[in-house]
Amino acid sequence: MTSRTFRDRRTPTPSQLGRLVREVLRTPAYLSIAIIVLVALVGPFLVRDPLGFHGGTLTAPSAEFWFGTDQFGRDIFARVVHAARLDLWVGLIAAALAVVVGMPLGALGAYRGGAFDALLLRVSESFQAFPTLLLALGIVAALGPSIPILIMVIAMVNVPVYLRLTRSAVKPLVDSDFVLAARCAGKSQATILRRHILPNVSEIVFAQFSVNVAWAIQILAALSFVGLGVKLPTAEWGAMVRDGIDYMYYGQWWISLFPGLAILATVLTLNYLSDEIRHGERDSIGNR
Amino acid sequence: MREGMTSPLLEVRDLVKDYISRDAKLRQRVVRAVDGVSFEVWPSETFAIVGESGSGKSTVGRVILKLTDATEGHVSLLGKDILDLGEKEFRPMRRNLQMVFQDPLAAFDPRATIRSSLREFAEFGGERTSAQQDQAIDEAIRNVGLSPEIADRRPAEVSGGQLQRLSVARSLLVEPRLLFLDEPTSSLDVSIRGQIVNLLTGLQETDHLAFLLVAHDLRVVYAMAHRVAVMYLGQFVEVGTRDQVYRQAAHPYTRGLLEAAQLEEPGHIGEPVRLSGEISTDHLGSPGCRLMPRCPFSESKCAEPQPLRETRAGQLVRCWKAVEAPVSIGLPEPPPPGERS
Amino acid sequence: MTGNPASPVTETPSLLNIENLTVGFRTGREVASMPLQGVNLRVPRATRMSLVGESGSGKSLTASAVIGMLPGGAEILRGSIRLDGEELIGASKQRLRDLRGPQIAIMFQNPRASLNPVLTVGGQIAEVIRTHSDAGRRESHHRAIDLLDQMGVPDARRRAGDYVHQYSGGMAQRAALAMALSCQPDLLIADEPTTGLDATLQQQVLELVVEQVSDRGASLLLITHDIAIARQTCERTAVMYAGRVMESGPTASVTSSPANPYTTALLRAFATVDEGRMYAIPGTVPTLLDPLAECPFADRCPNAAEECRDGVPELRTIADREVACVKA
Repeated sequence: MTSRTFRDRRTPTPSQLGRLVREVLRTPAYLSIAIIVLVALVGPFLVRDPLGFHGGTLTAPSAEFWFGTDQFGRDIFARVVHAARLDLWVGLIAAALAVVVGMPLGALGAYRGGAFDALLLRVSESFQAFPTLLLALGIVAALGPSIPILIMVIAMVNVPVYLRLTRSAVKPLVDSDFVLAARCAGKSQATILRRHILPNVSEIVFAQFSVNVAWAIQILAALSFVGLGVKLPTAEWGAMVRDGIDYMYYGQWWISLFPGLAILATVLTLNYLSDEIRHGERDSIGNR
Repeated sequence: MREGMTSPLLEVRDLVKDYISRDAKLRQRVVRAVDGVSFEVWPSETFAIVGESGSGKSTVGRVILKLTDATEGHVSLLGKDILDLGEKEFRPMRRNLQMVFQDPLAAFDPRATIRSSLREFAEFGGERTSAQQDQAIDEAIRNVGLSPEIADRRPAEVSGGQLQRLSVARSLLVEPRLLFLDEPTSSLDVSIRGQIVNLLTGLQETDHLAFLLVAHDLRVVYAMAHRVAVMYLGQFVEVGTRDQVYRQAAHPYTRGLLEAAQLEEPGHIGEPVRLSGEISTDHLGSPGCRLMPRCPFSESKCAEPQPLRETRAGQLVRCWKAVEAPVSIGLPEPPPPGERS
Repeated sequence: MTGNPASPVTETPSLLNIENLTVGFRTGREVASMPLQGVNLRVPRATRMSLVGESGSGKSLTASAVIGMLPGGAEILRGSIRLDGEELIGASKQRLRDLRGPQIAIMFQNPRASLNPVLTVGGQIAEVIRTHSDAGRRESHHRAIDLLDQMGVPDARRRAGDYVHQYSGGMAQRAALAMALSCQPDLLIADEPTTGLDATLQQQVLELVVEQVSDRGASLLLITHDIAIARQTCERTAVMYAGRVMESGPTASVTSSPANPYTTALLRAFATVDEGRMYAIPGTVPTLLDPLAECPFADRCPNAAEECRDGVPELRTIADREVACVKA
């Protein structure tokens, strides 16, 4: 009855690429994430040394020191910018590791079903039974904090999220007609998973990915805040908040505030981005 | 077609399929969707299974294609028992057996172009080169009356009728002997249904294909089928040639279905039968006739087990009254035994 | 093209009178498509009328327009819908709400769409009765149970306390009918009420609808894609195609001697034929993006001639019916 409009979702040719970039940048979510990534990539080359002493200690924000200086006379702006790179990296790698492990496992579980699926579910449930942060805390306390271990731990607590998400997205596809058709064409399980099932759940997983990067950053910041994360004096948002907390009582609010705002902005942007991806998904499927 | 053939393409014996389902209170319950079904399909023949939804007719086809496991029984394809084969051993045999789905839009990967969906079938067995695959795809699309350019589109950009044609084209790329047609026209508009039916019967003539047709549209079945089985709650209640089932229906359920379908022709014999109530899995466990709660002729003897019995040559009925006392259920007297061939 | 406008042939004024109804879908400020292009339809009092058409013909959209529940983005561009002489287009939301129930009621293909899953079936029917009458709680419940009983719901007193998911498909459609008839409407619109049901059940439900509507002296507008259903249930039939009524008249004469080639084609598509062939209308239904400039069936019509392209044929009264075909 309604006329169908179809979005062209073929791979963009170079001439379309420019239009795609403009399209993407028009969306506030994509624009903000682009700015954050740019700051993380280029920012560190443009600002002062985050560990160096640059003048007076505990100076309030000024034209020279936009975010002020801390108790060691370090430039907080420079530290926030440098920390952006570290936090985003850790968040990205941890979330990516979680996807790489969780997504295929979840898809395989849903596809094969049976004891394998049940075992996966039980293991991931037992992981999720602990509060995430407590679990991460425990493991880091046992293994000792270092960046690789932090990444591993954050990834690990995120694997069950992807496992269950992918599993529930794949489950209805397993008996869908187009998958049955591929079986009739004599395709193996692995081929069907790769060609038909994973591409059809990828957008759901990517939407979650963005949320998970945010979550990973929060876990990292929280671990650092309690002293089990990144070791001082490395610039990290959570550690910096912890650093400044004592000075809050004496009115030196800027030490904690700016890294705190950085966490807030990044987490909000990533969540917003996830919504955008999900909306895009709904629009393109809605036209079917 | 049947003459001269010594063995059927597909032979199904005592097929049983159980599903485990949960009721509203989450109690586990075994539902026997298919309960002892036997039939065979010969080359160039269309064997149709008709029945209401919930009769188990689609499940039969899915079991035969090994898309779901059987509980009991035997299925042999070209003389080879396939139920015990593993997926890997069966895979090369899939070439003989293909399927056309009810909803063509669901049968194509929404993200893939039509061409890449068809290529999956064209590359079956790895015998064609990539160029040969493209050639075969173009030819298959022309064969169903479309132009090959359509292959560059995605499923949502093609009309339902065209997509169903493409679905037929796709299954024929592996050169099968038997097509399972699962309600091939019921998602299509009336004016398009005939196009698909004519395409399929035309292909049957040229390629000597056999069809296992599952449908509830009695008009489509009448146009396509050579033999018809009527299924109710997992069992065949009547089997016969198309004309036997449509013109000389003996089972009250078959007569009820024909009555409800309001076909203009052919007129069936006997008084019209009105069934009350509706199909329900609650009647599955009954050892006797499962139609009993809905049948206007039911009496106590119907609660005894009802085997499929022959009324006329080649026509089987699961109703003791239809065989022993046809007049009592509004049927004419059967021909004397001497006239049976 | 004959400029003869649809001239009313009915002696008594119609209950429902749709004239030149044109509905479009907008994207932004532009009209992106026009699924209804000048629908003319009259439903007389105490008459069962069917509106037959394929998907995309606009039959369901016509019904939505009558009850004032068009889908999002759809808009009435022109035309008039009068119920008992009262213009419904432009009527206030409150007025339309008051009309729904006592004047027009609708039942859908999916009965569960018109019944609230978290209220008991009897309870919500009683509530509708209370809204539109001065019946009290006790009396409305009695009437709800009576209605369910009349609709053939066995053990109605007990089943009234059940929720719709506890009803089978056929029972749910009976309950939806009870709900629709609870306020004694003058017009019942049934939109493909049996399409999801099996053949044996379809017949039971259709017979019930016919019986109940006739007993109450109400009119029925039955929307269906199946011309066989129209023949079984309705006195009058209108055939829709591409957002227009192609032919309208007494069911018996429309189905036995169709005057519009589209009706002929549709009937042939439904006829049982032998020899492994079924009749198929060549081509596909046109997409209604722009206003029609010629007969919408011209491209698929076996009798198409030059004059069919000269404009959109209007409905003309010929003997006992109205036909939109210049060659009729």
